[in-house]
Amino acid sequence: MTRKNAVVALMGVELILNAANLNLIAFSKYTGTMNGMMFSIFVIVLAAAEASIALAIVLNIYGTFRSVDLTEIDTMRE
Amino acid sequence: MDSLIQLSIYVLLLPLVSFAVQIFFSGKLPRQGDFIAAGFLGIAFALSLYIASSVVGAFNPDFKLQWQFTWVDFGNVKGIGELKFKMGILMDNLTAIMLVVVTGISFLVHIFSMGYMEGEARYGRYFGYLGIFTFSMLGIVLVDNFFAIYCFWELVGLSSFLLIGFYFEKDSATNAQNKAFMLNRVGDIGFWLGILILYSQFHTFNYQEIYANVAAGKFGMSEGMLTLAGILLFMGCMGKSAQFPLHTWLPDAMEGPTPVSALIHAATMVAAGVYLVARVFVILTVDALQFIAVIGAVTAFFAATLAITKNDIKRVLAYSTLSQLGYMVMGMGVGSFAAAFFHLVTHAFFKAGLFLGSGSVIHATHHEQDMRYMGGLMKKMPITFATFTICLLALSGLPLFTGFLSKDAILAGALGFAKVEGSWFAVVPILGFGAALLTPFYMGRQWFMVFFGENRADQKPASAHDDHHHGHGDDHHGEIHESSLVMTAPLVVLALMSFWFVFSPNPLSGENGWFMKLIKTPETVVLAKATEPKSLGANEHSASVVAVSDEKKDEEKKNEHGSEHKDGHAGAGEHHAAFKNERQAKLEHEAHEAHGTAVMFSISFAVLGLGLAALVYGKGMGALGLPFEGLSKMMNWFNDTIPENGLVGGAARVGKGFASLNGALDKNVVDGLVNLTGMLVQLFGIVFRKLQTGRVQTYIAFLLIAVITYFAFNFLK
Repeated sequence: MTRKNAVVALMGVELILNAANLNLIAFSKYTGTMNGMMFSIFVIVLAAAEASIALAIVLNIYGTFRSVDLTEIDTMRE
Repeated sequence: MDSLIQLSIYVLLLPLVSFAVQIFFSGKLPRQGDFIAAGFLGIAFALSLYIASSVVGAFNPDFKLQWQFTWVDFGNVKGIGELKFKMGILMDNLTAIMLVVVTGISFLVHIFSMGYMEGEARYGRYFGYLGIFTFSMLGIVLVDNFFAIYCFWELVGLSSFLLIGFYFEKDSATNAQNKAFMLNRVGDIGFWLGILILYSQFHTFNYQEIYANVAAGKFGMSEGMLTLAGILLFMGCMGKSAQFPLHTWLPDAMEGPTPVSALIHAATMVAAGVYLVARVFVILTVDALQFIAVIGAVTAFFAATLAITKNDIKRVLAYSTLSQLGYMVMGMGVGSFAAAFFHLVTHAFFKAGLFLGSGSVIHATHHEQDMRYMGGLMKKMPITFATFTICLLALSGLPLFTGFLSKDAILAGALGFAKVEGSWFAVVPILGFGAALLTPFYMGRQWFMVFFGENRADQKPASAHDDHHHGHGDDHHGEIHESSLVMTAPLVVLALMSFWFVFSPNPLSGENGWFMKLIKTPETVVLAKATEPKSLGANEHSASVVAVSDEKKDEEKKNEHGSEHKDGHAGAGEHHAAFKNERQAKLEHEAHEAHGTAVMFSISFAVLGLGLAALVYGKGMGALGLPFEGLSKMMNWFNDTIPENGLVGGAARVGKGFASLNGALDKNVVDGLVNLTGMLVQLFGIVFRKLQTGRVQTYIAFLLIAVITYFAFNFLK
């Protein structure tokens, strides 16, 4: 959120997802059920899919704006 | 439905059909449909004659035939109860006679117009307007409730508006039509208010029901309110029948074509007001009647003084009409109901004759209307001269003519009124007789100026020449000849109707004629203490008086009964109903007594007036420039300036004041609010616009804040 580069922001998103996964597995171990582990497997898959799409969007943005600096991509302003 | 009622509906609708045909098809019809319009009116006239012969033939003074249907039924309305509006027709002696008068004169005017209006623009539409006018007027005399008469009243005003402004290319005509309609409306405000007062008490518009309710004492407000209602209803008459001060429209209404003046402003529409007073006569209180009598007398005299100063042939007749209307109204006010109605009918015929005669003259002189440039027409237009003379003599009130019969009856009534009421009400007969002296004078003046001496058309200054040439194919400029048969025939008919034998076998008194015997003054139903229920004693008492005062023939009976009442009278409030009828009986008695005096005076005044006119104007324009110039200016000021600049101008200024206040409100307050709203929206816009940065980072930041807030709210409860 606070980074300028779009790719770095995406890396941040990956980090968040992985952190959530860790949390899920830890709690699953804590309660002894399988729910957390199943959920985290789903999350891994989704994270992968979403990362690919996100990178594709960033590629397109680079094609249009010639930069990946988030502060410059503000044409949707009023 | 009775056959008479059915016929009367046909009579009512035929002129409406004529109107529709003329308005929509007149362009395609041969001769623009004048024969068709006249034909419709002819049929209507024939039907009216049949109806009248049935009604009058029955010779029942209390003849009443009514037919009603529910027009609109609102059922049970919350807060009011049953709400139902009924419409209907009332066939009465009054109605039957009015039917004949209206359709007859309308028919004659149609025929006359075929000659007079020949070659005019909008010829077909003219007959259409005549048709809708006749329809409206017939509506007024036929209906049985106030709402309907008000509707037709307005329709008549509209028709009059259309007809007065027929030559709307002239500014004077459009001004006149506006004036007529507006003054009419002013009167109608009073009329409507009066109707509403009555409706508020009785929840019905129907005449018969209202009168029955008043008679039963159900009028919940004070007698003063009943007087007020009566005076307000009379205001409708003041507007329509041009009483002072709402009279200024009538002389200006002469801008319309002359046959229109004959129909509307002599015979029918202006008589509608008098007819209205006749209809509501029974609920008029003594005060209202006194007011009516005074207004009528003032109008009669005042208009007559103006008539002697005018030079336009139609204006003189217009002021004459005003004066005669004053007579009729005065007659109603002094209690001579039958005499006033009689005058209405006789006046309709001879005044229409005079107007059509003047139309014949105007047509012959190629629309020269100024009497100063006429003269010598007696030899050139013998039929017009003869008929005009007969109608003129009728108007002047000479015996052997109908005008004398009716005028004399009214004047006798006025004398009786003064005797009964006493004190300053003596002004009523004084003004009445004054007008009786002036009427033959101004008519004689007109007679001599138009028909005698040498023709003065060449004396007209060339610059003032009327460029009002209508498309007459023949340019007989300067040649004056008698009008065609289609114009003279109605004149002859109307002149014949002005002879005494139409209404009474006795040329000197109308009282034995069928008319006066048939039309009875209806007993007033006004009770003195309107809220007091009638006690049994008073009931019987008034009933017996009612029975007696019905017979106008037996004078002795009235006399003794009158004295009887004076004894049993002392201070009894419940006997006031009887008192009112006794007052009527006394008025009639005094009128009868005064008959001889009235005859004497009116004959002598008529002769005197004509003689004076002969003296002044006889030798072909003796002293034209009599001090009438000064009188004319003074009367004009009184007549026009006061009502128009004073009342109308004052009202206009008040209106302007309100308008400017309103304008300031509108500009500052209303517009200010609108501007404020706009500014507020703009402010909000500026603020919220800052949120749209277009950058992903800000959006994510907001997301985060939102999630935290959500969790905070949910888990911090």
